Amino acid sequence: MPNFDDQDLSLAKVYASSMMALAKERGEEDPLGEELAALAAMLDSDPTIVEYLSSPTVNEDRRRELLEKMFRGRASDLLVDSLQVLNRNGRLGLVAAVEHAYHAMFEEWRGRVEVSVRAAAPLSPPQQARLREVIKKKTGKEADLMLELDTGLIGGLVVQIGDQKLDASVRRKLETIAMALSERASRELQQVGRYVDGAAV
Amino acid sequence: MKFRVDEISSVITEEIRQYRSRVDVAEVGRVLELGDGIARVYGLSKAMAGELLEFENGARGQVFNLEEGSVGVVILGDYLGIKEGDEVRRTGELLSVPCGDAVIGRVVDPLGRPLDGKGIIETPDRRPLEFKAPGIAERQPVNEPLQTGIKAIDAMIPIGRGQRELIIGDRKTGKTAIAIDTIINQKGGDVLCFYVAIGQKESTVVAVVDKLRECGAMDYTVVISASASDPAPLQYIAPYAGAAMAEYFMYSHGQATLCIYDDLTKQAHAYRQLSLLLRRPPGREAYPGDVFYLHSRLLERSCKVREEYAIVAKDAPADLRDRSKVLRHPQGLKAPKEHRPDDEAGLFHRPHGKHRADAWLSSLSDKAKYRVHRFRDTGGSMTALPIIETLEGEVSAYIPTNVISITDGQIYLEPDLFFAGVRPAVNVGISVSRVGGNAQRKAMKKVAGSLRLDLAAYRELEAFAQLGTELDPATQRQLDRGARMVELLKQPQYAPFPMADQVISLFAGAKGYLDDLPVAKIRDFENGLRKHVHDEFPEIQEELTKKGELTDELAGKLSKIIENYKAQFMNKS
Repeated sequence: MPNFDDQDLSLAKVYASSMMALAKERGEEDPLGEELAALAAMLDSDPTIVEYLSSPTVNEDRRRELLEKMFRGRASDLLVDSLQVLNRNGRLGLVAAVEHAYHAMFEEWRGRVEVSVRAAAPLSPPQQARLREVIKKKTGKEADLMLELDTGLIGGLVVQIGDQKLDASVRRKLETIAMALSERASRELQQVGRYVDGAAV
Repeated sequence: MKFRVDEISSVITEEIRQYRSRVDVAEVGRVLELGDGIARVYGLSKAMAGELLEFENGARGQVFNLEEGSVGVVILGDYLGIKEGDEVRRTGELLSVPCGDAVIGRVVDPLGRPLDGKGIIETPDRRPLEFKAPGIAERQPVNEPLQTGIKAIDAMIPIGRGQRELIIGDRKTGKTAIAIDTIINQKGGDVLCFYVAIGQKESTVVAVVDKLRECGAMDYTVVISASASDPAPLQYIAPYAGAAMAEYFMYSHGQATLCIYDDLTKQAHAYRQLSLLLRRPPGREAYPGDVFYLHSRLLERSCKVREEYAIVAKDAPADLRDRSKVLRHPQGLKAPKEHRPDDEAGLFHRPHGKHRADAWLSSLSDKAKYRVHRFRDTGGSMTALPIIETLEGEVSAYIPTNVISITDGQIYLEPDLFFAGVRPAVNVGISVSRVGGNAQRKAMKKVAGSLRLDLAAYRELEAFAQLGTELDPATQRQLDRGARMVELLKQPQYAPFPMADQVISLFAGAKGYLDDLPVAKIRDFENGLRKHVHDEFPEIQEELTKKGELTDELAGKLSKIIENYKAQFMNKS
């Protein structure tokens, strides 16, 4: 689960939306998304590059030259130009956040939504298709199912779409009934005399 | 002891039968960071400010900050059982407390959970903690007294029902004592009391509850406690919980209520702690920018709700609340001024409206069939006695000046007076009640007028008393009178004076009957006189209590009684 600073996130959204707008103009939304993902993965694997790129002690021109050398010709012009703009504003440290924001916007635009599904037993392909159908009907979006096995649920499903969690597992139902019973019990205990002979009321 | 298995299993069977299998739908987020009673939660994009959230371990939290990708939550309760990554769900509710008759006599925490071990509080009524204070149209000027039973206050700094009067002073000057005495004095009256203890030692709260119980005050009092070991969020919401519980009675039953916030300085500290932890920018003395609003929105909720009257059938029930069953003036809002109702429903507002209703009723030909009715759910009030602790008498510090500007007057307690033996240590010179005489009964107003002058003159001349020089007779008289009046205003704790007794005491002092008694004997004289009148002439006290007026005839009677008693007293000593 991403843990970006709130301030970084809002800044990243600004850059991501401009990049998205330009990409749409040129019809390059998909490739840009893939390039960003690759870039983010590369930076993730080698933190020293990130440090170098975001360090204020390195001269802005030096960084510009380096970026040109590293990426021009190997990545799309759109990506390299965006990186140069980020560099000029001293925001190269935001690349990971920009990727995250772009990805979210892209999915949103494509009408796709990531759905996390936990089940006690593996879902068969027809069951997965049925689930996608229902989600499409309810949200109008294509579901990208992230399946996970959790035998602790005993039975049933737990489906999470964004913030909404739908828990139809047997474990949850047992928990609900246990809570109802214990609440009822604590209320009834107020009149203990009804249930125990010889108890003081 | 034998268990009745059938009964128990029938309850369980019923519960299982009633169970309806449902998909549990909730909006959830995950805990990102946690500590010091606050948490940052990722997700919950639809959470609203001030909404109640629920953690996995059952603890509840309130949404404080709404940020880009996360939500700042203040945890109300045990945060030790929460871990990073725990699930947090929206409840869709605002923070609310249980209220109603079930809370009277109980000691609860700011969320309404019992602290006195007397069982769960079962009540269908709940009120939100935050509530918009009534506007101008819904109010009425304060015009009834709230008797504290403390002579210095009821005479010089009278408090009315619906007023906010600040009790301010250094530590250990008797602030809480005034509050407790006021509560004890409401015994036999119609005022419900709510004592909110914020950030106090639990042992202190126990002592207070004990004393209230001993004096029979718990029958009409609720104690809400967020002690020093409770998390800051609970200390922050405690006063609002008290106000919410009082509002139930004020709005639904038109009752007079009293809320004591002991003390708001600690609430401000708790709020500062929360704000700093949640990274809100610190202002003066590191308090957040809205620390004024913290107190103003609490104290504005104290008010006198306007009374509503109407003409109804004579045999209509006393507790009629149905506004449709009233007699409406045929000309409605265009009726002649002396009979005009105040709204389209034909109702009359405030005491002036009642006069108009009375006038209209007496002008009706069939007046015998009707009566003027006051709707029981109107005319309620909430009087607030907030307490602020100052450091070294510094009343121009940030929080004290804030609260002084919000309240309708202050009662200053000074350590110098306290150690000089003047207890309650009220500095009547600089203490003020902006409602003043409107909240005093006529008898009290009469005797208090001269008291004020005597004390003012005494204060002017006090310096001379210390010099010990020979003074002219007029000055000496002023000093003697002043010293005796100061002695008269002293009062032991837990011994509130009913209004009639106060009037008699102050009358004796104002008319000079004490001027030739040694100061040290004044207290004995006063107690003796009180008992004497109570035993031999109970009708005097009855008349004073019922009519509230000190007629010339009554004054004459009283003078004679005092003279006779004084003669007795002088002979004995």
